[in-house]
Amino acid sequence: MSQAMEMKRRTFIQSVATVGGALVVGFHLPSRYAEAASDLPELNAWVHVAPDNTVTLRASQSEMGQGPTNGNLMMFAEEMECAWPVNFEFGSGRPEYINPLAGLQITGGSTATPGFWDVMRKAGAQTRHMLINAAAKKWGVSADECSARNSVVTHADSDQSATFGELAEAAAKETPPEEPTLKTPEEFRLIGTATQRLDSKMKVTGEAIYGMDVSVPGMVVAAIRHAPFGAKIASYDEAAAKAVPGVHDVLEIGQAVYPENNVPCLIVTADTYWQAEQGLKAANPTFDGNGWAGLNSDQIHQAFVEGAEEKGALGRVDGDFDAAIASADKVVEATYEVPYLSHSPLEPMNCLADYRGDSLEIWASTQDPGGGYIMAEKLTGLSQDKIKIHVTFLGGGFGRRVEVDYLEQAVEASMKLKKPVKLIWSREEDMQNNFHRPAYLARMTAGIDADGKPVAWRHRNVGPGIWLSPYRSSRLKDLFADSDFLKGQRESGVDFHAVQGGKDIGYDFANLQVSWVQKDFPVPIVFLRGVGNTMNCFFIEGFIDEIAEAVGKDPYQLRRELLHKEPRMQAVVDMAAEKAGWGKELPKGHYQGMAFHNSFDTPFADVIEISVRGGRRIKVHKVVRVLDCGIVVNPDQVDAQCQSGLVWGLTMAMYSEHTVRNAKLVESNFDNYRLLRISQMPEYEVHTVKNTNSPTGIGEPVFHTVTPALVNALYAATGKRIRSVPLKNHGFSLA
Amino acid sequence: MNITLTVNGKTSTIDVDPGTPLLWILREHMGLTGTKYGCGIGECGACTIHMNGEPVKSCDRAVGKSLNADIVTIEGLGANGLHPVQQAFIDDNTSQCGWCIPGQIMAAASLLATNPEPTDRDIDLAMKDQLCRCGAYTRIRSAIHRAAKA
Ligand code: FES
Ligand code: FES
Repeated sequence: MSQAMEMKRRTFIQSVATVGGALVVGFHLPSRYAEAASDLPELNAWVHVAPDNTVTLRASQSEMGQGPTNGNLMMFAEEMECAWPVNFEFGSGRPEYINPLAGLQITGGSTATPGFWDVMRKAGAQTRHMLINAAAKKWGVSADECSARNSVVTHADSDQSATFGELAEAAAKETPPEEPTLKTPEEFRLIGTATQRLDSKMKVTGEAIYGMDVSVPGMVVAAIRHAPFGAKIASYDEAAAKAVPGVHDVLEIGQAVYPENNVPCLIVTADTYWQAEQGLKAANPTFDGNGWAGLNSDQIHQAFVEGAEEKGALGRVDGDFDAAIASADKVVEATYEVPYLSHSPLEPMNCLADYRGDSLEIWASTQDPGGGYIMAEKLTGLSQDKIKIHVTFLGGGFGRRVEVDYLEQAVEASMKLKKPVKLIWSREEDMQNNFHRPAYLARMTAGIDADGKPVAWRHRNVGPGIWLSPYRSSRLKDLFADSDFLKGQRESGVDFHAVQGGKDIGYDFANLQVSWVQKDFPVPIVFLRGVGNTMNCFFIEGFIDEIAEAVGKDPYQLRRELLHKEPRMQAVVDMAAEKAGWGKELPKGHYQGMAFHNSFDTPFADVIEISVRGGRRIKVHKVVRVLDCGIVVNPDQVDAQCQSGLVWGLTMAMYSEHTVRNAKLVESNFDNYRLLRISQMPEYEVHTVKNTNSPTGIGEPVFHTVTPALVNALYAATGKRIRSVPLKNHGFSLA
Repeated sequence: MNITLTVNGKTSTIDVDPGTPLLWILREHMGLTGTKYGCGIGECGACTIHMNGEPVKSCDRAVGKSLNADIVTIEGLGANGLHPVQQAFIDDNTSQCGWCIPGQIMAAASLLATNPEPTDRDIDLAMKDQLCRCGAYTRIRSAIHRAAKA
């Protein structure tokens, strides 16, 4: 996601101060909904220990595959000194679980690791102190003389020891120090090791429970059909739906909590999902448009092309771009474009809600239980202590599950029907009613002086604004309406994510302008794995290669020169060139392309080696991926994410595109929204810069550089400069 | 209509619409939620099961066309503990979100049953319809090779 508040720490801190502070108060839940089902002694919100010394840790951050369960719990266990592996649970609804970098219990913005780095280690250390204090009291010795290791506290002098399990009950009464001393990186035993995923076994046996897998007694299953953008329900045949065996109810719902996000929907409930879908087909809903009915991709493209002639709102100005361009020896200009994208996590949206008048329980694959509590409180009028959201495993998220629209639908249905409702979106509903990564167009302009130095840079982006759009987009814009973060955007007229990765570009140009021309459309939009970086990295890095050609420089050399003020970034580019053997002789017919990007404080570079058969068929031979994410908490997870980001990048480059026809998204399932296949998976290697800086996020940075690196390699191989994706539209295929 | 099925060695008779895809019978009538729904049109492989020993996409197969079939799902694959493919997926930390994983494992187990030492190309062919949105392909491949050696 989301990075609602991502990016520069300054922005975070501002937001957290204004937004987070206020929310903390509302989040406390009484013991009725305490996570521990049993009466096992709970030491704090994060941990309980059974008498048999089994340690169970709780995770705040949603497990959608990206691995925060291991990462965050390793941080905790490192300081707690408990044995690894541990048991785990997903916690929700307590103030402790709020993501300090977002002000909500939300997973996104590549913040799970950096956001909880201090939180988890500190809470782990406090827990250790509680256990040690309890032991010291029991033995009548000084706590300073005791130590903990492997879930056992020991007092060496008196040769006494006790397990955490034996101490837990007494330890729960201890008050830990406010600011315990934390380990230095040299003292880490667990952090930095490649641990086995804690969820592996349950995922390979089918035991892992996702939102769609939950059932409660008395529930009905609902299928849903959304109205196209801006449309209303015109008609449907209730009797026909009810004639389908198993069907119970036919119901119109909308979304009342965030009005501009209201989408009229028809739902049909039944004993089973299949019956509900058959009922929905029989109901045959029709819809009336309201002016957007003719909306299509050409119209959107045309509006962008016209927008590129406008000046737009200025996001950043250094020096004097106009003067520098006027006196430039050479001007390079190019227009880049990207389409709408869907996240399409493999588990479609779904939610089970059980509203009982005086209380509400929700089970959901969600990245945003924090936002879910707020939505549910507004919708039901129940105070948050009467609401419990059970976060399950997520069958993928990628930013989509930051939105709580599907939770709201299930709650609304349960309120109206007075029974538990499990809502399941079909794949078609999921793709066509997704909140998309917006389509965008960029006009890139550079001025080169008489010495061949790029001295002027203008990046003018044209497209919708997730935060500023008047249409359906993240309801975080309502939630954070009064924050400085959003006020600033309204004042400047520049959407944070429209220029993300462009405004904060690492390259040094004496005269620079980054601007945004706002063109909104009612296609719902939201954060997708890196958000603005997903397009801006492509625009910037493709164009940097064009400049390199114009000045007759090696693209790697140009990058490292332009990064001269950013040693951390320059080191990553250098390492990528070195590891990939940049400029060295390659096998016949092989070509390399490079791209670099800094996002979420993680500089990342890719070098992609390809060959092209018949001018059309691309074979990716090798990808060298280099990053600096500070201390690597779990190297296995960094590798897994680099693997994932590579697949995402190649998929986006080759195939991903949602087009609009008659106010509807055309691509509706994996037959026309293609994903990469196993046969297309190239070899890759991952190199991290070794240091002891606090860790930075990787879930999003792993994705951005792939497309431009591929396009740059393609230019080297074919002389064809590609300025829009997907490549399938240019006649390319991937072997 | 009454339909008799054998699932994971247990035979039972259920009264359902014969047009219902096997996927939903498994998930909703039998509580076997390890078999996943991803697309409903036979494109993603998340719902892959074994029917009479063959890999089948259960979203695409009406239960009425599966009469007397012998079905194995992820829950029944390792009848006596973990199947070697399951163990290999654990050892290689293959799973990410995990939604595709039961289907991947069912497809891989069938491949190994007929081809105990598959090449990369064999794997590409057998696994070509098993999508992984998280992109765990390198480790899916390595886990299959690992299981072959086990
Ligand atoms: S759900 Fe059956 S192939 Fe996708
Ligand atoms: S692990 Fe998420 S879809 Fe494969």
